[in-house]
Amino acid sequence: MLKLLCCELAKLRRRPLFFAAAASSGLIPLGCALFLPEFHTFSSGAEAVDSMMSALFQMSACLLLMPALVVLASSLFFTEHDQDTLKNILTIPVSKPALAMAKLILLLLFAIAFMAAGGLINLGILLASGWTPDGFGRLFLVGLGLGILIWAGALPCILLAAALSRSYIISVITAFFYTAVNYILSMNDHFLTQPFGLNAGTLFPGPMAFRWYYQYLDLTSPQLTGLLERIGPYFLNTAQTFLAAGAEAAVFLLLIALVFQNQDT
Amino acid sequence: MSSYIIETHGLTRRYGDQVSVSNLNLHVQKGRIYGLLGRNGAGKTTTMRMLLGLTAPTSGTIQLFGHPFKGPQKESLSRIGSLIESPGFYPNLTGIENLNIFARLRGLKDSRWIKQALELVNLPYSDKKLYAHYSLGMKQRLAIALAIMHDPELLILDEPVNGLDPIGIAQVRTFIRTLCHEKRKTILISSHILSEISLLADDIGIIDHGILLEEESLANLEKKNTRYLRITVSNAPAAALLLEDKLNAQALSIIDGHTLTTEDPRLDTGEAVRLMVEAGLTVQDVHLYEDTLEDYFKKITGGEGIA
Repeated sequence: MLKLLCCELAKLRRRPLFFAAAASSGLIPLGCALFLPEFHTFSSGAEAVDSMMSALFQMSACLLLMPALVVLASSLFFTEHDQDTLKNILTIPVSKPALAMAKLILLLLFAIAFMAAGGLINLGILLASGWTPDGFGRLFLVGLGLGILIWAGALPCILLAAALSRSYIISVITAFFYTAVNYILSMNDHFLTQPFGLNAGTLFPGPMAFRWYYQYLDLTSPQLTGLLERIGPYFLNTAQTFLAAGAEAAVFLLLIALVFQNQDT
Repeated sequence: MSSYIIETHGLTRRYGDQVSVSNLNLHVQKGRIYGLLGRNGAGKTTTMRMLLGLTAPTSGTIQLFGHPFKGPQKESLSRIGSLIESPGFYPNLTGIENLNIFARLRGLKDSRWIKQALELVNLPYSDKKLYAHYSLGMKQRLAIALAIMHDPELLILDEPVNGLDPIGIAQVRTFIRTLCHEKRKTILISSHILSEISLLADDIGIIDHGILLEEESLANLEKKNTRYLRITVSNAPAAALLLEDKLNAQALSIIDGHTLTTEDPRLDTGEAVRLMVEAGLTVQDVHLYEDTLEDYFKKITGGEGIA
């Protein structure tokens, strides 16, 4: 699998789409630093860290990383068909499920690296602005965890893109629609106030991720008190979150492998 | 254990109602070049894909290297190099980078393998050109390099000279011959170009509409080819009577008033001409014709030429 993974990495050379997706990890942190007025009015380093990381979680992870993963997945999967390289790989032989797994693991690493890069850019901005990055370490780790959750959450959409069509356009449309739906659900009280179990609030990646990472942010701000009162009892602990995401990922990994296996060579 | 490197029994592949390959019994001997000859769509590629595990047979069995082949197996496939249909590589990478990917997946750690393969197909090792900018001929050469990179015992090459210029075709032909005769590789090569197969192959399989019509060594096929004498003369019926009477010529056919043919291998051409001239006939032309592989192909497929 390591060999396959290295080969998947090697295939990304000179792929502008991949580098554009990677570069977008710095978009939100830099945008916040440059354009958000409250960035210059923080009262402490902890508040600055919290605000910057919150923006990273809500915008970078949920709005950029999710579609980036689906579009990259489409590109990784379709390339083998479009360039007719699959026959070369299969006659080595490498099985289709193993190839699919290598691609999905690469995407997992990308998701983690994306969040790590965003976090480190935030740290750089904070230090350059003279703030002491209090509490950064914990939120950095939450960011990495969020990367994993977003990756697991993108799998159903990757399955859809792989199963429905080999068209990039349809994949992009599907990715943005799925991202928008998840973002809306993560803003909706109905989905945020469901107990842990087999329900949309747990199974959809948007609300599930929100109910996990939100508890790690500073919730003392007066305007967030009402929200905290409503959703606080429904926060998911790390074990619950990663158990649900892991189970979903296992199912969708299997389905993606099956779909890829049964597609024409 | 079978003496064949490739042996199939009743190999069949159906796509719905359409039969792509039907009941194919193929026999490829070790150290020989086997040419699979057929028109476009005859079933050559499907056959090769089944031999590589890329397409599952609907029925029938395959034996590779004397062992049953049931889908993609490392033991068999690591001993095979292949080029199926058009070359497939990553356009954003150079030729070397492309080969490196497949070499790594094959577990080839030494770059010498890649270097040797590229040298054999006349592609530069240190070329920085991206695959996307390769000409069709270069792409085909790179695909051949990929097929031979791991020094396989068996090469399965589907139309390997497609897209090559005449010099490139000659180079590939020489190269394939060298691989077989000097390095003792077994080669299964498909083509719809009769001249290529007749220049390369030791054994020939003729496939048409998915059915293997003939499987024979080239030497035996040449023996089967018809040779006949065609005589253009002032009076063909009179000449026919004369040759039959004086030289006991057999298998005479009068084509028209001035043309006759005979397939009699014993007929002495010089004597025949002398007799006709002595009988006052004007002999305008005497020509010995021999069926080509194309004629034979037409005959057994019952149709038009191949290309």
